[in-house]
Amino acid sequence: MPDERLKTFGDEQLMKELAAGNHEAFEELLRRYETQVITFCYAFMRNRDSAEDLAQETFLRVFRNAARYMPVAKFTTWLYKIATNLCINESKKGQIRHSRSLDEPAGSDPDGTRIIERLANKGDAPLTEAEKHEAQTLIERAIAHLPDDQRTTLVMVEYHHMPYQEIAEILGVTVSAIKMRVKRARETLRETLKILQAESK
Amino acid sequence: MSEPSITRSAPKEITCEQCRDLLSEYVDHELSDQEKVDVEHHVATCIKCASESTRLVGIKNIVQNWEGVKGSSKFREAVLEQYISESRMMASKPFTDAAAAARAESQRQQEQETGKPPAASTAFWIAVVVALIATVALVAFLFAGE
Repeated sequence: MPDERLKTFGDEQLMKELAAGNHEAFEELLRRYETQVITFCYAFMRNRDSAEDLAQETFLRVFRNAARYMPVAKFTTWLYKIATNLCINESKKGQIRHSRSLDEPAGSDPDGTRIIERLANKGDAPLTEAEKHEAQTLIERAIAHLPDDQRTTLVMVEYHHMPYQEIAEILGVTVSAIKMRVKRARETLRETLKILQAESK
Repeated sequence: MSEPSITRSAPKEITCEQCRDLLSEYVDHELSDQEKVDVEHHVATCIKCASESTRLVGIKNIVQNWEGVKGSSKFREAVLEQYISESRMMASKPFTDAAAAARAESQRQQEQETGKPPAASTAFWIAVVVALIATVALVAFLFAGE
């Protein structure tokens, strides 16, 4: 029977359990951060297979270093620093083949404009399931077209909801650099979304 | 007793250029209290900057709808499999380390006594047998628990 108490534990407490040999603590960490870490790695690599490989290695390194983990900084800062180093090292090895979805032709997407506009205006009518699926594809394409630095930073702001200071610490850059990347990422996204809208007409 | 009053900083006039420089941080709640007041005051009185602010919020709303990348059906299984394999290796490590340490100590003692490299001593073999028994017990325990 899984230990439901673990769901109420903070991350630092889970790490103590993991260091003490509690297997369920590892499962809880995995459950908590699986999608977030894979998404983080995907923002770097733009390839799902690579993202999963690197996410797997990230979690295993968390386990291997559990006994040495000191909660000096937030757990997520430590976790994503591990992921960042793995992604950067993997990127240096050479060209990664980007996921096919980025290379798909734009195609006719008459509803794309309306979906983007409705997403921009939070108060508009909710999307249908089919529209939600289309929206995910559109957003992912737009994000994938961002330059590397802008993409990784914007994903950490908008998806992981991290403050600039934490992002700067994880990526090893200044807060000023983060501010600039976010600003430019939004400008680039605006142009990309205009192109997506133009393609759909 | 009267409630302490919350004083709001007086806004400073900023230009459109200064405002647009701060808008991205504003929508991310990254501005200082003063900067926030300055931007809000300017946006309330400038149609162009208000429009730009709305566009930025729109971009933010779009991206925040992204659900990220979910793991494949095999991801969790693969991670747990590797984790279990590594945790078993780690669990037996203290016993193999103890056997190695006992042997090293025994050799050191024999060298001190005879001045010659030792043959295997009784103490060494006792340490090896203890380590083997402990390893077998652990493996039996782990497999019994599955």
